[in-house]
Amino acid sequence: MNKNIVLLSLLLIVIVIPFTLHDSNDSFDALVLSDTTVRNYQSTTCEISLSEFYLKNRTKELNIYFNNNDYADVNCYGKITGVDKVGNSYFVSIGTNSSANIILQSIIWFIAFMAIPKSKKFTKFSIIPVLILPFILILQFVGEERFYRNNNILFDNVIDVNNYYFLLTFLNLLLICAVFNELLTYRFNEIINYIPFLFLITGTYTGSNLNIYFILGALLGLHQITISALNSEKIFSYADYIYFVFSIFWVNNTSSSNYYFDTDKLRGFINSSSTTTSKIYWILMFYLFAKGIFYFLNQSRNSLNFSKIKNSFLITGSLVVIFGYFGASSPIINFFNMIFFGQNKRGMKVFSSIEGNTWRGFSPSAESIGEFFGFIIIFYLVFLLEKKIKLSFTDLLFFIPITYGLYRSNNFAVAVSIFVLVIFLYYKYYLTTSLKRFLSNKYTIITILLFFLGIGFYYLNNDYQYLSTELLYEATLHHDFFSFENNYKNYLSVEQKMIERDLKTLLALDDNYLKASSTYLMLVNVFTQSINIPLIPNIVAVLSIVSLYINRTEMWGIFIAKHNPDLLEGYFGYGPLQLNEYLFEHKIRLDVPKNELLGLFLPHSSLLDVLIFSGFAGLGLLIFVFLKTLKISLINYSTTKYLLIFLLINMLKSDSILYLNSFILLLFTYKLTKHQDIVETNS
Amino acid sequence: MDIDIDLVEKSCGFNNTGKDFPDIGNDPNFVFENDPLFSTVTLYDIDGNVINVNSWVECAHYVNGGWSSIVQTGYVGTSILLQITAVLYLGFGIYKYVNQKKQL
Repeated sequence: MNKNIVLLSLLLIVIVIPFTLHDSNDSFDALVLSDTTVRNYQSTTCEISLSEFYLKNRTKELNIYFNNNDYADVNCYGKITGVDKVGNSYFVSIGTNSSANIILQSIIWFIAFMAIPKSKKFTKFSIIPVLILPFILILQFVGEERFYRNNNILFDNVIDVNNYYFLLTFLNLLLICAVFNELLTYRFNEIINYIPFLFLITGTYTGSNLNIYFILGALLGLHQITISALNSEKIFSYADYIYFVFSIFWVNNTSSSNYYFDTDKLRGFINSSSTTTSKIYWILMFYLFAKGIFYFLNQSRNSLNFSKIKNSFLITGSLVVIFGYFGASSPIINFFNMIFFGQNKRGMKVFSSIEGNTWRGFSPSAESIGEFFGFIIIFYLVFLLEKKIKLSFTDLLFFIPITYGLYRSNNFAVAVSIFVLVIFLYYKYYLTTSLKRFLSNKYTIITILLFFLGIGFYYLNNDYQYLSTELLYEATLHHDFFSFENNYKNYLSVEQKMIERDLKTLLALDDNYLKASSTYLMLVNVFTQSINIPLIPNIVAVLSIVSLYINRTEMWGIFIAKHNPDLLEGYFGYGPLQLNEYLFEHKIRLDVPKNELLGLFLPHSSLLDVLIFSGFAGLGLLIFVFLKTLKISLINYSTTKYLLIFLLINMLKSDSILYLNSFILLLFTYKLTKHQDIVETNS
Repeated sequence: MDIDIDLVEKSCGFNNTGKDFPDIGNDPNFVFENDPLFSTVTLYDIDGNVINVNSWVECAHYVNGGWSSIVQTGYVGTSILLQITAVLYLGFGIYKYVNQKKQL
């Protein structure tokens, strides 16, 4: 029998069984859901399985939402733990114990992993990292007590020989690492061709702040260290030493406040607590993860097969749309999507953009999935032209859902990027030589540039006052400077000071200076400096203009108001995947509608995310590395540079670097570009 | 009304509502409002009765009245999962053994 059919059948059995188990001899029968039977379900908990319930209540007339109850005990797994009526909807809670999820989802994903064909070359990995990693992973359960206590009834962090919860968690983590080691032996070189599937199987354990790819990356990182040590090779590079220096600052600067962030859509790739243990865990794990991903990309890049990876992209993009659609149409599929794919947030309930982000569940944000769809299109276009691959009818079919997915993601920036690239590629490949020569002529280029500069200058000159101050204005609004109850009164007071360009007086009033964030104070200082070089715009004014044109003024304004690092934090940041201090340390009054006040306000720029994590020093280093790679790739005309540029430009206005799959895609593209440079330079 | 916050948090998690615990007393007309952000918690009393609570306040009220989420079921649950894990270890061992045999 075909291997994939066997695996698929196995998958179905594994996923269905836990939700069908029940005692058929008991006296509890599933009832048709109605206002009168709700009470029955409320008093008969953990007895009726999901399958029993579903068979009785399949009708579309009932507006049911299957809620995952990760806190529930193991005996409630796959069973109804409660039903509530909220408005016209019935919220049916299904027991999905977090510890049991680790077991069930690991089995599902390992079976899926086995679908990756074995490579001819096999790599033998040492057992040492398998024995080390679970000890590091268990640190999370100690450090993030608040998260796990809220999410698992079994959680117990008392250090005691009778603490079976810790024993269970440790044994499961050890088994996960051991199975990975085994599977990697035969598939290590093939995985690279299946990287796009990260966007389908997100891999976040339901009810835990753990992600399977994060564990895999860290395991590979430990493997690299072990291999280097066993072969007496240099273990650490300059980048490692820089990271260690940063780590000292990060750990020393741990906040003494007990902040807690429920992780929201970032679950699996963010620290939930501000304890020293959890900070050490994330610093260490992020290091191993990044090291592991680089090691993996370096080792397996020669196995990259463009036909295979192209197919992976097309299949993944299409399946995201198909399963997203089914999940929105059927509550039961929506529920199973979460378990099966390891979504860090439940998928959209209704297939409409008004209901939140389209493709939510498969992607934390519409922006990041839009970038992924755009990436697929550009990847295909670039290789169609550069590698002269043939456009097949099957591939064309795949583009129908992908283009639709991009359209529904409402990502205008991605659409514009694709449009610009198409024009560029058309120019490069299809324009007649004479026209090309005309367009490449330096006088033509200068004329076009002058034309656009003229238009830009005209608009800037007309509205410079407004454009250059809007960002600071927005940031000022989000400070609690004028404590009137009425937001509009605050708005008018701030507006008056902005019209007068009198931010320094505004800061001197009352205790405003103490209320202002350090980032805001720094930007006001830069903006109101006495040195004014003619025709050279102020950097804050430039940022303001950019933010307006890319519709990021409000979000960046909020960032400026919230980001309040001290001097050391400003230079080195709070540490990788640490948002607690940024989110909770500086109290401000956001000038947003009341219903949005409890929302998660991320900076909406990956550059700003890096600034929070690693400060100006880290951001500077990162920009240097990327510019160096881009400079070489531009000179060498490497094919993948378009992909890297596309991702970098789009990430300037999105938080995609905070999402594990987007982060890996960026590293993959970066390595691909760098590798291609080496290949093309050598040839 | 005094509540043992440590005991309550052990069963109900942390109070994320931002509101203080109201004085409910023995008011039979008090209506608990459902909190859609609160994951339903199952509580047990000493006689083995079961109830689902749908807000932190409701949960705190019941825990204060002697109900608990932990009643020994946690231990039972962990041992069930430990047994499943043991079976998986066995399965993995067999898989490895078969794989090694194939290679020889």
